[in-house]
Amino acid sequence: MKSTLFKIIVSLLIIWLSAIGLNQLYDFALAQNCNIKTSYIQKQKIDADILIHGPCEPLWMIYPKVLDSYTGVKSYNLALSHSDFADNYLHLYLYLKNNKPPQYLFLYVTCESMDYKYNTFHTYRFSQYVGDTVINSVLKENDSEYYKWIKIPFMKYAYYSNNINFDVLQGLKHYYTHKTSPLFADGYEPPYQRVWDNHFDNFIQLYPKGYEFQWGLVREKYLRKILELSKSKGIKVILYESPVLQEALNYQPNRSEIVSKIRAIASEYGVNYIQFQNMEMAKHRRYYTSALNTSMEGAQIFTDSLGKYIKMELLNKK
Amino acid sequence: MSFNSPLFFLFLFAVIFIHFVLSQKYRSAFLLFASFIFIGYYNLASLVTVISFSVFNYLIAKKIIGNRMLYVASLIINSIAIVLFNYFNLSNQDHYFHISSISFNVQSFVVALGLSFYSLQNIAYLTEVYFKRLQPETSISNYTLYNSFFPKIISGPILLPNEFIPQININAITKEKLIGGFHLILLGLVKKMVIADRLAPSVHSIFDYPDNYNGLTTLTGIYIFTIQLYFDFSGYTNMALGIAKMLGYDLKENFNMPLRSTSVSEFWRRWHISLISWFTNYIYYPVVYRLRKSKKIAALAGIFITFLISGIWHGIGFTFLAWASCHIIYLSFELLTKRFRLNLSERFNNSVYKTISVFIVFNAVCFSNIFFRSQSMDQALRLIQNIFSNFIPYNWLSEFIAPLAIGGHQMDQFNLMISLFIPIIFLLFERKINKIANQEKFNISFVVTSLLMILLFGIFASGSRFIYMQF
Repeated sequence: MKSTLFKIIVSLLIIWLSAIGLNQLYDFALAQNCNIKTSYIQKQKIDADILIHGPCEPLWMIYPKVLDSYTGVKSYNLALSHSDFADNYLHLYLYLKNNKPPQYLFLYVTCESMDYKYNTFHTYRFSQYVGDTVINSVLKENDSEYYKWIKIPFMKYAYYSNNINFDVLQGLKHYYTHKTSPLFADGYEPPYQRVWDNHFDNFIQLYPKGYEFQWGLVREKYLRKILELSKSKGIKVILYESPVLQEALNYQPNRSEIVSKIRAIASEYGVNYIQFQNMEMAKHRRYYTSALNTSMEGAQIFTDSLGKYIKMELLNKK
Repeated sequence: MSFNSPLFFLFLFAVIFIHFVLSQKYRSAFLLFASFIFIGYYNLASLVTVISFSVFNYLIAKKIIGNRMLYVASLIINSIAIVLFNYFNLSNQDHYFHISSISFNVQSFVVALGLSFYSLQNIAYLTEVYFKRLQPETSISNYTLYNSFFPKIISGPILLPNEFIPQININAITKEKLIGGFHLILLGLVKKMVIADRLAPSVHSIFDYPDNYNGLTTLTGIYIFTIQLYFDFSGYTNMALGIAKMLGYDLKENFNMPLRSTSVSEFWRRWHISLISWFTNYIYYPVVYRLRKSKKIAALAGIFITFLISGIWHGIGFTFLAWASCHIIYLSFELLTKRFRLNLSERFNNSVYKTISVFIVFNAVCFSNIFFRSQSMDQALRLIQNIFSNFIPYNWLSEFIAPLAIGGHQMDQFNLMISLFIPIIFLLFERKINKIANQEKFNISFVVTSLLMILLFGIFASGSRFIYMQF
């Protein structure tokens, strides 16, 4: 009995020490990984004047380099694919911890942004920051199952290990190769899908009479939190919507209702909501890969338009 | 409360501790109580169903000896329960019955936790008692525990009454049993969380979107499903056996390295052993006995009827009938070519013959599993069609790796590599791993390795159900 008890204690000790050791290793390796946006913005000073934020649409559509050529100021694309407002809020929060507040924040908002069916909160993107009170409270609200585990050593990583293990190995590689710049230095990522991908056609098949957007209260809450955080830091927020493929509008029966709700929130905080709806590109599928995401050519046209808009309207340059 | 949920582990820890400190005479009552909590937590209708069937079969058994009518009627009632379970399990519509102003959902009572498993046990019990091979059980609580024992209610193993009931009064908890049980639970968790659940998304991707993929990708997805099913179900069984062992009970092993079988008949002696034992004892042997004048016809008829009923037991639908038909064909073929195959094996080098046989059997099982996993015959046929068309992918990354890895990024490729590497290593060293897991001496390296594997590669987030819970 004594030897069994001894073996159990030894096993527990090994597991406990391993969990603590792995926790430290993962903390370290993830912080070294330049390709993780949160790690990069924590490690490097970006100090952009214009911050682009939101889910995949701005991520794959707005080239900071092109924007900078119009505006003459520095911009950074903080967007992340498939992210919701809670995700965006924490990224902005982490960005502001190590960087000066930007002059302008361009936040992508469309009807889909308010509907839980589209995009989501990615807990694993913030697992290395568990312990921070702001991060913890958002995690608790958006992924309560995960939150239950985080006090156990290493569980903050083990729970979503499939999304983290590779990043850890890449982080270690970056450390040993002294890599300091990410694959996408200004935050913009070229879209993985570059031609029309039939998503919209499948959507029409699924909803031949169109889809009624649902208003998500948690989405609204975190949109407000982004606006409040920006206000407290003196950042001028511009909510924007890039051109939606015109034929897709026919399948959005309550679009105007959702848009007016977004406008109401925007005016409550005294910010603009700009919809780039009248652009010629919106009439042609060849500029799109889906109803919302543009092709490389479409992205180029939109970035040009946005650059001109910022230059003329916000910076008052000719 | 799935076996892989944190809540279940809290429940299990409390049950094992209280059961351990209780004196022998209160233990079975406590286990019955714990089983009721477990089932009631799943849903109350399941609890009502298991108690009703236990009481019904217990009372019938008392009067069944010499009463053929009663025996047949009780068999029909238990069989109808299984058929209704499978019918409503596949039905998408809700059905209600009303007593005055209260409505009851039929599904919740008929699709009760473990009903199709303990109904087989009840049929076995009534048959044993009717043929006077077993005395009717004198304790209603012991009989109810036989049906509702929580480690095995979800998906077996299916036990004959004399394999379980005698253990109720003599169940001795020893240090060895506690350790052995703990090892088995860990092994089951590794199989479920580190192997089966990692493979699940690839299987989902290939089976649920059959139009999207080429031949090699589809074939690989089908192989992966068989491996997933094996690790999922054998993982569950390891956990069931381990939990029972920690409570002082020895349950029957359900798997014995089936993917190494050199014939389909051997496969069925190694896969879901408790179900096949039941079918052999209560379907196959009676059929063979009735037709004993012609041995070959008797055996063929036995195979046919056994697998036809096995197909219906798994689900009412053409896909399960097709799955059963595959095995009827395989086993009949093996029976008819037994002598020829024996001659062939003598001519070839033993290891070469064995390797080729394992490969053929694995492919045959995988083929039948296309029907087992598919939602419809149309889906199954499309998958089969896919295998034979456009076999080699034009672009390996986007057409082969990306669908299996659920994405083509480096991270997805890395995860796919891990998901395939672990089961391959496990299958290669399966005998050794099983031997260590069945040790009743605390094995530090096994415990530490298993826990670290779960921490590093386990899927926690899905909390997914075991595949065999649906049957």
